[in-house]
Amino acid sequence: MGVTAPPLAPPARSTPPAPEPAPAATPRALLWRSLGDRRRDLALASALFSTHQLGEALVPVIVGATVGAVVRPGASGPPLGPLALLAADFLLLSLSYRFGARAAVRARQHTEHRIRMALTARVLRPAGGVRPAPGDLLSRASGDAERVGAFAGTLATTVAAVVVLLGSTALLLRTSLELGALVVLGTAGVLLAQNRLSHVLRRTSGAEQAQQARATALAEELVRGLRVVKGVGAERAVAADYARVSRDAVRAARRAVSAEGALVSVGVLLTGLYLTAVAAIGGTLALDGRLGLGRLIAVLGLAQFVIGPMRVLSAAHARYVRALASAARVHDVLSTPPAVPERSHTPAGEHGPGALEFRAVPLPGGVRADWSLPAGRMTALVCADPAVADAVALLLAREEDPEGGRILLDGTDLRDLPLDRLRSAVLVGHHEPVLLPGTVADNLGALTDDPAAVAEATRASFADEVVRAVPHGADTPVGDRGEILSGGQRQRVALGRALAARPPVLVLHDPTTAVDAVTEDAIAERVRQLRSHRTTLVLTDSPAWLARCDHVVHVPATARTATR
Amino acid sequence: MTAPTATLLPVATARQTRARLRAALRGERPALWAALAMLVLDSALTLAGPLAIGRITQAVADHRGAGALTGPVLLLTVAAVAGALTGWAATVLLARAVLTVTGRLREDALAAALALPVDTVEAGGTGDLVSRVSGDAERVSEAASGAVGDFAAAALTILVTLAGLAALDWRFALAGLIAVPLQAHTLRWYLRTSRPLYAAGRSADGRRASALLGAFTALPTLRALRLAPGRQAEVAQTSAEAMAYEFGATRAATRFYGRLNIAEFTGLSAILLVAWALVRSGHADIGAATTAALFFVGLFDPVNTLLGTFDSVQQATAALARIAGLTLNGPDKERSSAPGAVRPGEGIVVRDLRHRYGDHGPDVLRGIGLDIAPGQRLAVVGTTGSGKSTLASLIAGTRTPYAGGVTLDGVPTDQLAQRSGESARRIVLVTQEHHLFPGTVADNLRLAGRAASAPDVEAALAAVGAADWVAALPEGADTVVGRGGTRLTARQVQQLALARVLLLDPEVVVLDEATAEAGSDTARTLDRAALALTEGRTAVVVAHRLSQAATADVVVVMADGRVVERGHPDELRAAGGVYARLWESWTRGGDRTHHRG
Repeated sequence: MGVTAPPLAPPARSTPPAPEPAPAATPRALLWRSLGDRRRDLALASALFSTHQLGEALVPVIVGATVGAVVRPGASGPPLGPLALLAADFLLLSLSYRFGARAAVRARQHTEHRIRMALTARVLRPAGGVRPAPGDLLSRASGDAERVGAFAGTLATTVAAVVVLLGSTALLLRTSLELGALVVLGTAGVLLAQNRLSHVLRRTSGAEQAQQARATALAEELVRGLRVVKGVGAERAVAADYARVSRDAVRAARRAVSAEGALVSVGVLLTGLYLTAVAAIGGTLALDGRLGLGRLIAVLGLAQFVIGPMRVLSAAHARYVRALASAARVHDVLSTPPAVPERSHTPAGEHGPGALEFRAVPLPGGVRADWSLPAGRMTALVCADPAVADAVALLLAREEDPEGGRILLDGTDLRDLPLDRLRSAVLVGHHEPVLLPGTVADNLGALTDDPAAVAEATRASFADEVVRAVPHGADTPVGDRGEILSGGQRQRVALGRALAARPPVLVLHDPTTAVDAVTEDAIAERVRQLRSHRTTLVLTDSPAWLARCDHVVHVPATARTATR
Repeated sequence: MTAPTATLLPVATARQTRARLRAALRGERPALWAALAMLVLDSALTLAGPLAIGRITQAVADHRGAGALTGPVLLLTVAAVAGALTGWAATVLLARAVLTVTGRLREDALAAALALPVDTVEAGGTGDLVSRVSGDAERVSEAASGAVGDFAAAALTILVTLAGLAALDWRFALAGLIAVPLQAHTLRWYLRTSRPLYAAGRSADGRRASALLGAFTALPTLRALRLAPGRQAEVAQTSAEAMAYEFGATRAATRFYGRLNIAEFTGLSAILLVAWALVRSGHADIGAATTAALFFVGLFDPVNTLLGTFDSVQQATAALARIAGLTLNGPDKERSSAPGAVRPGEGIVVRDLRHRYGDHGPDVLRGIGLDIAPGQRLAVVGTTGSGKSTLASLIAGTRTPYAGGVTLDGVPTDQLAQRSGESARRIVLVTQEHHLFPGTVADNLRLAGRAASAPDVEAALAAVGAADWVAALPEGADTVVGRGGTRLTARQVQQLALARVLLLDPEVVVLDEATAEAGSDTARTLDRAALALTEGRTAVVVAHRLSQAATADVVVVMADGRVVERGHPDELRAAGGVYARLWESWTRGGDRTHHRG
């Protein structure tokens, strides 16, 4: 058994995003188009599942034939003919299943993967615009993508169920008209009754899963917050809380299992009675001599068998609806309009000196910005209303565009610069810094290939102290989002990462709030030296930074117009 | 990035796990036995079908009259009704016993987890602990409400069917058993192959989820730094990896079922050949032959179920051992400080306090001595790594000192909780670690102060400056927050942590950079809230901004695990030492904040 080694993608940063196909117009179009992309696998899976099911259906028929052959008058040797037939049938059903299942999984997985990648590409587009929370997006990119993919599997099994149902009905009707009709109608009736019941019971099961999830989430959160719990001495109180939630979950689970047990039992009862009826009628026909022994056994076997494909058919519609709902949630994201319009590309050239100008830009709280930030200087912006600082950072990063006025970089409106060019000229370090998975060194060097730039930035941001403090130095993994580091360590690494890029214009938003006062003071001094002759804007009210800036712009909360 | 960490938490042996199970089974024994009885009965009833059909076949072969059908049809009817009833009863009884027991085990495990010493958990145990109380507990609960019952039912059905075959003729049972070595071998092969595959697949799924979250979290930063293409490639790679494992798992599963098909065919042809031989030699009639063949065909499903659930049952057993392992040891008491005499009104006394993490770690505190009188405010200043946080947690008693001691009115602080036996602590610690527990805002505040009324909660929220935004939430203080609820900012979470302390109303409050994570805009609000908290209590404040130290009664400057300066803030400012230099740089910038442009 060979487990294929996972394919390795080329190194991360240089890879361009996958080309985006034009978004599908409707969720339904998205669903069917994704499936259409894998139609060969789907056709293969449907065909092979059909032969597998037919093979399964033939097992009781051949067993019946074998028993019939054993008692046939005049038979003497072992029933080798029927046994060879049985072997051929097992070979057929086994191989069909093997390759059918593999084709189905291929269709399923590739569909899921494509949906996931399309969604990720849309979320990550430079022009932005996608709003849902990360957790929500995650559930769309995993759960919903999976459900759309799973419909590929459903489609194959449904096609197979139709084929095999038609086949066994034909077989049954040929064997005995009355009995065949009884089997088909009876199975449909039994399933209909069960479906009705399960609708009633499904709600209980949903509640049970929610309760279980709640107990699990609570346990996880309590253990993660262990130090907080111990800090206030709440160990016993929260353990009692958890016991209550856990007992609720146990009760809900018991109810759900009992309800499901009841459903299964009703199914057992209905199927049992229906098979009894088939046996009684078949037996009567056989005793009358209208049905041979082998055929009687075959009919009884088939009656039991057709329940499977019928069940698949009856569940198909619900699965289609579910897949469609998931496709809609994915489609929602894919069709989100961008937050800022992207201009066609202007020719790239050298970056300018990096002078920023705000002309009559309205900001939150009725503030109107008319500022010029001279090139090559370090300017502090002290905002009494934090919303103003947030807005300035977002505008300079072109997460959004101003409602009026203009923001100019060396005389060019930001809106006239291609996003990629703007962001390479103006680097905005947002307030809550996010590190990437990888090591401390990976993060520090994420934006440049120049080791000298990384070295000077590491020193200036005091990230070298972080490197010394963590267990494996620069090679210490920081966790998925830097959670291995403390808040202050994260801020220093993020600052070092931004400094290492040596951008013409650097915007820092509260860069050292979690760093102790002594270190903050030293960082501000070193950054000032490192950024001499380059434009730097610091959104802060920390005395350490203000002391180092060439200019300080104050934006009082009530001001109409702020000027330098 | 899950770096393998040393597991310090014990795993229960099979014997210990069984002992825990027996203990947790209290009161549910009768239900368990009744469930087993029902399962046996239910399995036996599944044999009625083939038996009845065999008799019908026999009747047809013997050309008997229509009356011969009455018996078999009656048998089928009774079996259908009784089978439904016993199946239902078995499910309900089993759910009662198994779910209750697993619920008790996970409750005990969580209580034990919360009692673990902080040092143990921090020394690499957090991930292990979280996976035990969540992942393992979930695996056990899932198995308890599904696989365990299916497994037991399938196993019993197989046993009863084999007995049925033997009852027809021992040679039938022998023929049926021919398949067993094949099946056993297939199962062993499959478990060996699939387990690492599934484990690797699960961790590939985890990496994919991490990559997706990494791409979806903090989009502004990713866009601003033009890091999005790298994230996209990371998602593509992890998604392709997860896909490859899925293909591998499918290949293994289809081979598994292929081999089971061979076992099925072998057994079935053996039975048919035996039937032929027995019928020919007159040892069995055609009815028995039919019954035997149908018995064996009826085994396909239970065998698939048994082998298919084998893995999840075994994994649940392993998970159970890890959960039970948590309850093996009580909290580590060997290094607990010696109890002293109670001396009311003495306040906090720190004597020659030393600490290191792990027995061989470097010394973090190298002999600290302090006296904090009741009602006094002490501020601790120093760089990162100077030992401030360690000192704070030792004073608060959430850790046990390596050497030396901290007492409050003569009682070692790490024993206060056990001593008093009260729900509320006399000392409360608030750190910069902000953590929101699932539940409402009010639930989060009442974490330890259960009795707090709604007006109390509102007063506490108002005191920390959180009243406005809490009132603006959809359902005020009853809004569900945290994971799955309304998301709060770091500042808001920290305000709740401070309000929580107000409700507890402790004698002593220890604030370890409790307001550090806030941005500069919110620092003032939080600092005011923290100040409100220390009003009228003994307070130890690990100061982050010097404005916090300026209002203290005593300032202690720490460096390298020692106290290097101590005194009233005004005295220290005049003394020209470390604190004076800090203060100078702080105010030099601070002056400029007062210019208005």
